[in-house]
Amino acid sequence: MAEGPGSDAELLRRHVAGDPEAFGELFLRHKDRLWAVAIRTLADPEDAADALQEAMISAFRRAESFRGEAAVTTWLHRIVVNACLDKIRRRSARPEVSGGEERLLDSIAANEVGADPATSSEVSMEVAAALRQLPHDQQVALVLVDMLDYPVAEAAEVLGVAQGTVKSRCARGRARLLPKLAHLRQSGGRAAGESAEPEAVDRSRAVGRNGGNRFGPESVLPAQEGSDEAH
Amino acid sequence: MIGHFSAEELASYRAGAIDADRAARISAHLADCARCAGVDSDLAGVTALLAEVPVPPMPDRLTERVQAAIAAESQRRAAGLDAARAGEALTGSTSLDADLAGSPDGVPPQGGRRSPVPLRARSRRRRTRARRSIWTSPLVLGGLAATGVFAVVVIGAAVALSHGTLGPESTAGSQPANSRPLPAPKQPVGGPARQSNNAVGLPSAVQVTYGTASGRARSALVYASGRNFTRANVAASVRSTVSREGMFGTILNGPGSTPSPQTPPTHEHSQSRGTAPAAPEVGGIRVGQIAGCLSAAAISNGVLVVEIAHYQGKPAMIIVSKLIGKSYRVTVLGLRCSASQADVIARITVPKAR
Repeated sequence: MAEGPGSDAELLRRHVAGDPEAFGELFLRHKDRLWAVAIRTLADPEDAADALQEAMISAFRRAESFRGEAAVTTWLHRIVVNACLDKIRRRSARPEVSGGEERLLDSIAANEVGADPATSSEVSMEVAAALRQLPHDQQVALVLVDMLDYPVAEAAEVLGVAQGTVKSRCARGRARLLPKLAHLRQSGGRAAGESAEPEAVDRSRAVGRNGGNRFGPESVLPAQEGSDEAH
Repeated sequence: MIGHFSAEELASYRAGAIDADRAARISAHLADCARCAGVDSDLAGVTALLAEVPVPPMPDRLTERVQAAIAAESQRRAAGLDAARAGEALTGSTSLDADLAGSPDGVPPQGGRRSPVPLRARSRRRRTRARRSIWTSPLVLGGLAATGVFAVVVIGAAVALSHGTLGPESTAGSQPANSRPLPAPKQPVGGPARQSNNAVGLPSAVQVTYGTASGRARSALVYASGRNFTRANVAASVRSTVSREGMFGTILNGPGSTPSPQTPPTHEHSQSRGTAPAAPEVGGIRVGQIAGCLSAAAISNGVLVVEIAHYQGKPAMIIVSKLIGKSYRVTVLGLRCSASQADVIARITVPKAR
């Protein structure tokens, strides 16, 4: 972590010292990656922006307590992840409004429906839906490691857990996703066509018939409130 | 072939999350077992699929929204510093006037008088179970309002209501909540109430976060109306309040009902405020007490709206929360309520039917 002028740490120091622009600069510098975490975790742009905003305000206020043990970006990521988890919990605390309806209503409230064509692609939607059925800790680990390609070590730091914990969360999450996503990969759609391992496409059929039974569609678990460590 | 490995074991193997002995056994097994090898490569396919999902760029509109929130926070901080330097007694009360109907561009009014919460108090760790923050989230609330599924709880408020607006003479009878603009409550402490809303005089509202028994944080919109709920009018009042056209929708969207996402002022209420100014209040009731009441009332479905008002002529908190099913539920709490005692005056179920 560079400490020089213009470094993250320097920006944060300026912010703590009262520079009114410094934090905004920090946000702009890292917003793409932070946004990626939020949108991949929450799927809905409005929710993601809400979480990101809450996280940034929280970081703004907590900046004094940042001790520099971790990189500023790691610290920001951690706050964003926690804000996203809060958001997920708030969502699941409102069971009578299904996620889809809720997002639609939010979109309507924001006067904008189907904002981003990229997010509405069928595969993305299905993957997002499948992800949401995982326990939160697994979901977040997969977002960081598989979707956004963070090294396990960095994900572990962001999540504040051991690397082995990240690995096993990812492993359990992938195993749970297997039956949920198998149909996407055998449907011959975009995902299958672009798969890095064509072999996987053929074999997914076998999984659908055999292995799928162990992780069949009924094994969908509700979002688990208790599965995340306190943070 | 002696059995197979589960997908989870194979995934753990792939992730390097198992010990060497087990890994060696799985490795040997995979060489011989087409089925497990297939699952193994399917697991690689899962990772590949996840990696392929594109990340949509952050829409400019949302980027600007977050930037505006940061800028507003910066202004508040600067104002807090200025005020501290000037040695002013900070009133705190004005900071809670959520500017819900004004500033359509999402930027709170300039001048920074609105959030004198000192930095010292803010920077302290306050991750308590009943974390109390106050902010507005029009989007989320908008979505919920549109569902029309609420429960209402009325908490009796026996203290500190501002008489000017909340006196018994302000009885609204059976008048629906949205039939006319409601007067904003007078702020009991500090300078002039900041009537930050637009010309029609909507009440200020804040969002209060409170903790549930299970340790979750939930939040509710709180505003002071001073009107009088009675057994006879409660159903109509509640329905109109939660309707899109009613108070709830009006607060969210402004009187013109033009949805305009706004950057909510963000405020936090901390119990360890040190030399902080008077605690934030709504309708003369400390936000901390409101949060405590909500926690104590053990409302299982999450409170959405809290109205500081009267019930049968006595000061009360009327809490609207979601309910599973097609009814609103109204709970009335007396103002003696606290974090340790709910002081429930009434629980009323109001069918959604119009």
